Amino acid sequence: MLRFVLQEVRRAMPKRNERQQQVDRLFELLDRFDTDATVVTSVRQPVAMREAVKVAVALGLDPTPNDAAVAALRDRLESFAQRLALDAHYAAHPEARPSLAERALAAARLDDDPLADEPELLARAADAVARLRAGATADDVLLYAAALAEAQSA
Amino acid sequence: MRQRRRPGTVVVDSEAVDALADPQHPKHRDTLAYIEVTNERRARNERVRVIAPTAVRVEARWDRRAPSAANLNRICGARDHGLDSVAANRAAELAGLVPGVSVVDAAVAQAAEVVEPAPTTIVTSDDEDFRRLAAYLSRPVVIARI
Repeated sequence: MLRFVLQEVRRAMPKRNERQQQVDRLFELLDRFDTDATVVTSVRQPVAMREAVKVAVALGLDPTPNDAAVAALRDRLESFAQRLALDAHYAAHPEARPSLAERALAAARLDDDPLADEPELLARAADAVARLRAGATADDVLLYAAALAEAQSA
Repeated sequence: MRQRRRPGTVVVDSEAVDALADPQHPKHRDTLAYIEVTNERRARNERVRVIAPTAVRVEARWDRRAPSAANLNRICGARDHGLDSVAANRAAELAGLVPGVSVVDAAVAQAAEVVEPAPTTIVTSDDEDFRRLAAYLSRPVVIARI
């Protein structure tokens, strides 16, 4: 049995190492965004999107269509990389993962939402939302809790 | 009645950074909850970012180049807000207006006053000093306590 487990661990290790190297490479590249040279590249996109970006830039979205595209892609890459980092952190420190109710309370405090003063209501809402929806977010809980509070006051 | 103001920028103070850096810190999990919310919102393409004033980084001994800071760099996802000459003048002015606040608190308040996108929320353990500083800022900020 022990030999089998060791074989499985050895088999899995190169894959894990390869993934870890990719994650390290991703963060290394993200760190270079502000200092690296730029390169021209082509992106296939809906014609309407290209036109929409032009119109949005004229309305003040960003200084140029290029800035808009780079900012959007940068945001997406950074949030994805941060998600990987947070998940790795929780794998090493499971007790550090905030519960849905704790995230909802943090969201309420960030937004100066009156629900920040209702942690018990948020906890009840978090329980209910977690049962209704896998992968629920803090903002799902805030919306549910606001509806509960509204119903109670009606 | 309070107005909900979903932040465009979240500014972290020194204890928030200390708490994020150390999994054994008593406020580690609480502070991560704020970071999680910003990550959830960014993943939905909402425009929100986390800022660490450089004065905070100095106080928290956060050297981004240090191997020991690698995890903090990654989980916090914060960009720097520098203390240039203009910012230093405003921070000094704020420090003079509010007796007893620290240099770093004044720098955090200055950052909260100018960073984009607005509005701004400061994540801090020292909400009393920041409420006093907020009274002198040119735009409203939210203080979120850890």
